[in-house]
Amino acid sequence: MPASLVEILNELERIAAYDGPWKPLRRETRALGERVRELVARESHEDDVLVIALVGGSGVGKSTVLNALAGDHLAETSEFRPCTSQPTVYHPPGVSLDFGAWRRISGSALENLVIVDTPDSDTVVREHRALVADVLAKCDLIMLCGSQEKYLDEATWSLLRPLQGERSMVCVETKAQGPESIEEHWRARLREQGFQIAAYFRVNALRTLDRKLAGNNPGDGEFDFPKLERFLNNELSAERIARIKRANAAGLLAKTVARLEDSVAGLRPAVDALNRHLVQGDKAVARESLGIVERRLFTESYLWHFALGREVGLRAKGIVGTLYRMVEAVRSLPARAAGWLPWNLARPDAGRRAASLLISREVFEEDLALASEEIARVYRNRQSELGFAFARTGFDPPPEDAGLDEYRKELNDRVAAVLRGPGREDVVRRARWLTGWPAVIAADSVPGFFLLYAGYRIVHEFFTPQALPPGYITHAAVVLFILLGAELFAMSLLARAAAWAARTRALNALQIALYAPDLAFRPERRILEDARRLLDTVDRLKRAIPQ
Amino acid sequence: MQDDLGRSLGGFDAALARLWRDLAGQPALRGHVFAGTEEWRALLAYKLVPHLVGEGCLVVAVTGGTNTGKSTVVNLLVGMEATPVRTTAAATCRPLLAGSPERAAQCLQGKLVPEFTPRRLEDPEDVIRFEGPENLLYVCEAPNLPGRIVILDTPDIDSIETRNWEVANHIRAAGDVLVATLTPEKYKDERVVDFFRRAHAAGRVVLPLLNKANPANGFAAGRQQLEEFIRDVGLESPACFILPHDYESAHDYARPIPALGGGETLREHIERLDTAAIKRRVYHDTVARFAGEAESFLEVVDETARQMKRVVAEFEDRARQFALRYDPAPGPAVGGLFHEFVQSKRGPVARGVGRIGSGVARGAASLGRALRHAVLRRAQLERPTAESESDLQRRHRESIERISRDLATSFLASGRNLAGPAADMVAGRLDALDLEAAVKRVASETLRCESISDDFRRHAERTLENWWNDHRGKRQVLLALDTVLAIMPAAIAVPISIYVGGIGLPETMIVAGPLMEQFIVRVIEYQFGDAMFDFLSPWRDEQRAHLVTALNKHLTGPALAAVRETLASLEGETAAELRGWLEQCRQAL
Repeated sequence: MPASLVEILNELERIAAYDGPWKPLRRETRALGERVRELVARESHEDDVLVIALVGGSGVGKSTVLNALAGDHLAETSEFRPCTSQPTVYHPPGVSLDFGAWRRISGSALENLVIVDTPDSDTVVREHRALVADVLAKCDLIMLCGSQEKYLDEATWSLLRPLQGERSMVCVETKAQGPESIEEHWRARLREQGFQIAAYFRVNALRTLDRKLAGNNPGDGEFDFPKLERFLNNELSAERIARIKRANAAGLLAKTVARLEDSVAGLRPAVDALNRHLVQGDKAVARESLGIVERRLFTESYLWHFALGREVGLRAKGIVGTLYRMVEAVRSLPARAAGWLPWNLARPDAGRRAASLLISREVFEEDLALASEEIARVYRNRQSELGFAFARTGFDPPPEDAGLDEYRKELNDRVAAVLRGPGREDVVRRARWLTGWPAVIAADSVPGFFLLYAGYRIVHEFFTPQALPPGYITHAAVVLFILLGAELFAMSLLARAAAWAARTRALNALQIALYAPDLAFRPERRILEDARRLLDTVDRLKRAIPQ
Repeated sequence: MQDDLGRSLGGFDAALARLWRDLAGQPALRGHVFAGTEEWRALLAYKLVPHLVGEGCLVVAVTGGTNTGKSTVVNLLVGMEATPVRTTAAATCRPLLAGSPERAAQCLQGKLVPEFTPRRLEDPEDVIRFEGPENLLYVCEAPNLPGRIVILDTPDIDSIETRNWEVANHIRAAGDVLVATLTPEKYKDERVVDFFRRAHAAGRVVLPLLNKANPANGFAAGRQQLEEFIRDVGLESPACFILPHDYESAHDYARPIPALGGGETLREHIERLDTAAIKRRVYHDTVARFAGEAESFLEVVDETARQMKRVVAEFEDRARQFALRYDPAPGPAVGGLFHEFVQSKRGPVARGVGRIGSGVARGAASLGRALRHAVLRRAQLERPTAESESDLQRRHRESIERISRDLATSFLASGRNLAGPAADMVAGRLDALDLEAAVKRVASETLRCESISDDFRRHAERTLENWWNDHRGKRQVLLALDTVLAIMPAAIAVPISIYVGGIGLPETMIVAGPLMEQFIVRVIEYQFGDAMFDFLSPWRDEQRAHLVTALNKHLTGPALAAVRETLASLEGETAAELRGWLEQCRQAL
C-alpha cells in the first residue's frame, strides 16, 4: 500500500470516527465507516487472485457459461427457475479464499482466476438476491450475463448501480442464435446509466459445452466463446489483474471521497457564516463586558488615588513628601482598617482586589474575581443567540452555561493582566515622578528657603541689639504652615490628576486587551474549529485523489 | 344499489382529490400519507369511476415482463400487425388499444377508459416513442375483433424503464382479463409473479400464456413451469396457453394461440368468456378490495393526525416549561409596599401625625446615611450601583429574549429529531422564521407596561385590597400596630421635650425614630407578611402566563403553522367526508 494511500485511509478513518455535535456530518459517518473498512480490507488483500462474478437474471445461462469454461457439468443447469441456489466457486488448485459455506470446486485451469457462479437476482426466492449482493461485494470483476430476452431487468441492474466505478465489468450475451445481436442496444443503455464495459462477448455456451464434452475442436456457431477464453487465459495476466484491482480500489476511494465531498461541500458557507456570527458575538460580549468593568472598577477614581497614594507614600522623601506620607496614612486608615476587620465592611470586594493588583506589593494577596451576575447575564444573552444560529446550521446546541467559567476566567485574567501590567506600571511611574528628586527639591525649596531665612533672622537678631518684633516666631510658623498646606494641597491635586491619567491609560489598554480575539464562547469555537478542520481534510483528500 | 355505490365512489374520489390538493404544500407529508395507495387509487381512477361512466365491454390486457413477446401476442390476437415487434427489450413504452371500429371511436371520444388521453395511432412506431402526455393511449382499429372485446398492448413491468411500470399498473387496473405473457426465463421472476398476484387479488381474470416454450416431450417443461407460476400467483385452475419457440413463423399473425391441453384457442376462449359475469365479479372484487385498502388509508390518515397532535402538545408543553425559567422581580423600590398600603388605611388623625413623624424620621435617616457614607467611603472601594427602573426593564427584556431564543433553539433541535414528515414541516418553518423580530415581539408583548415595578404595585394593591376586605381580625391588629407606629415619634418627642425643655430632642429623634419605625415594620412583616402576602408568586404566575401566550403566538405558532394546517385538513371536513363516503360504499356493497 503506498504511503499516501495509508494517510488518506487514516484521514478517512478519522472523519468516520467523528461523533461531534454536527448532525449533517454525523449522518455521513456510518456509511463512510463501512466504505473505509471495505477499502482497508481490499488494500490489505495482497494476493493476486482475481475473483470474477457471473451475474445476471434467472435463466440467462450463467451456469452454462461456467460449465462451458470448465468443459464439464460443474454447475447444475435446468429449464426450471431458479436453478442455482448457492454460489459455486470454481478455482485453481491451491487457492485459499474466505468464501464461507459456498460450494467450492477446485481444478480450474485458469490461473489466478476464481469464477463464482451466482444464483439469480430476480426470482421470487428473495434470499438469492442477498447472496448475489454478497458475491458482488467480494468480487473484482463482474461478468454480466444477459440473453436476448433478459438484459434490461431492473432487478439485476439495481444490484449493480451502487457498485458503479468500483468494479470492472464485462458483458456476456448468452444464447446467441442468429445474426441479430442486442449488443448495440444493451451497451447504449449501460452507457446511458453510467456503466463502463471493458469487453463484450457474444456466446452460445451450450454449443461450446456440447462440443467440449464430445472432445471436438472449436468449430462454428460458438460465436465469441474462444475470444472469451482467450481473454480469461491470456489477457488477464498478473499485471492486468493487479491493475484491475487497483482500479477497483481507486474507483471505490474516489467514489467515497466524492460522496463525502458532495455531502459536506454545501456546509462550508454555513460554517463560515457561523464563524462570522461567533466573531460578532465575541465582539459584543467584549463590548458589554468592558462596559461592566468600566462601570464597576474604573469609575472608582479613589481606587486609583488610593493606589497612587500608596506608591507615593512608599517613596516620599523631603519635608513635603514626609508630610504627605503622614496625611496619606491617616486618610487611607479606613480602607486599611476594613482589611483588618474580621467581617467585610466593603461588601463587593472586587474593587479592593483590583486595587491590590495595582499596588506593586501584594497587600491583599488575592486574585481578581469578577463573578457578578451581570457578566453571566451578558454572556448567556449572546450565547442564546449563537445557540440558535448553531441549531439552525445543524449543530446540536452546546449545553447551557458551557464556557461561562472559561469566559469568566479569561476575562479576569485579561483585566488582571492589564491592572498588574500597564496599569500598575503607569501608577508606579507617576508615583516615582511625583517623588523624584526634582519634584522633592522643587517642593521643599520654598519652605526650605523660608526656614533658612527665618532662622537667619532669628540668629542675626540674636547678635544685634535690635530685637525681633514681638510675635515674629508665631508669625513665621503661621506662614510656614500656610506654605506647607498649599504645597500639600498642590501635591494632592497633582496626585489626583496623575491617578486620573493612569486610569485613562489603563482603560485604553483594557479596551485593547478585551477586544483581542478568542475572549468568549470557547466550546462553540472548538466545535467550529473541529468542523472546519474536517472540511479542510475533505478538501485535501479531494485534491489528493486523481479523479 | 349500483347508483348508491356509484355516488359514494364518485364522492370518495372527489374528496380524495381534494385531500391530495390540500396536502400539495407538504410533499413529504403527502408522500407519507399516500404511500402504498397507488394501487387502489389506480383502481378507483382507472376502473371503478370509469366503469360508472363507460359502457361495459371486456378489456383484455396483454401484460408481462420485458421482451416476453407481449406485442407478438397482441398481434396474434388481433390477427394483424397492430403493434411493432422488436427483438430489443423494453421497446413498447405506450399502451395501445385495439378494438372494433365502433369501440375505437368510442374510446377516442374518451368514453371507454376516461383516465387515459386517447390518440389515434397514425404510425405504428409511435408506441415505441415516449413523447406527449404521461397518460397517452394509442387507439387502433381492428376490424376482425368483436365489439365486446378490446385488446390492450402494454409496456413491460420489470425493465430498467421504471416509467413503463406505472403505465402497466394503470393498465392492470383498467383491464378485466389479463393475459400473463411468460417465457421459460421469466415465469418465476419476482416482479412478474407479484404483479399478477396483485391483479388476481383485485379480481382480475389471469390467463397464463407461456411464450417461447420448449416443445420437447409435448411441452413437458412448459407444463411444469406454468404449474409453478399458477401456484406462485395463487390462481385456481385457469385455462393455460402455450406458444413454442418458433422463429420461422414469427411474422405469421394469422396462426392461433393454442391451449396447453388442446381445445379452444386463446381468442376463442376470450370470446366465450361471460362478459357480464366477469364484469360483475371484477367490479365487486375491485370495490371490496378498494374498500379494504381505503379503510387502512384512513387509518394511516388518523395515525398521522395523532402524531401531529402529539407534536403540537409536546411543543406547547415545552413552551410552558421554558416560561418557568422566567423569574420576574420588581425593583427594590417596592420593598415597603405592604407598609405603605397599611398606612394608606390610616384614619385622618393618625395620618396627619404619622406624616409629620415619618417626615422627621426620613430626614433623620438621610442624615445618618450621609454620615455613614462619609465615614466609610474610603473603605468601600466599590460602590454597589443602584438599579434604575430602565435597567430593570432591560434586564427583564433580555431574560425574555434569551428564553425565547433558547426555546426556538430547542424546537429546532427536536424538530430535526422528530419522526416522519413533521420533522421537515417544523424545521422548514423555523428556518424561515425571522427569529430576532419574533423574539422582540415576545418581549414587548410580555412586558406590557413601561415600568415593571408599577405593574407589580398595581397587582399587589389589588391582591392586598382583596385580602384586606376578607380578613377583618388581622386587619384590626394591623391597624392598631400602625397607629402605634404613627404616633410613636410624637409619643417619644412630647414627654422628652416637656422634661428637658427641648434640649436634645433632635438627637433623640434621630436615633429613636428610625429604630422604632424599623422595629414595628419588621413586626408587621414577620407577623403577617409570610402567611398572607405571598403576592409575588401570583404576580409571577401572571407574568409567566403572559410569556406563554406570547411564546405561543410568536414562536410555537409559526413553528407549528404547517403542522396545524395539515392537521386541519387531515382531521377536517374532507377526512370526515371520506369516511362518510366509504361507509356508504360499504353499505351499498
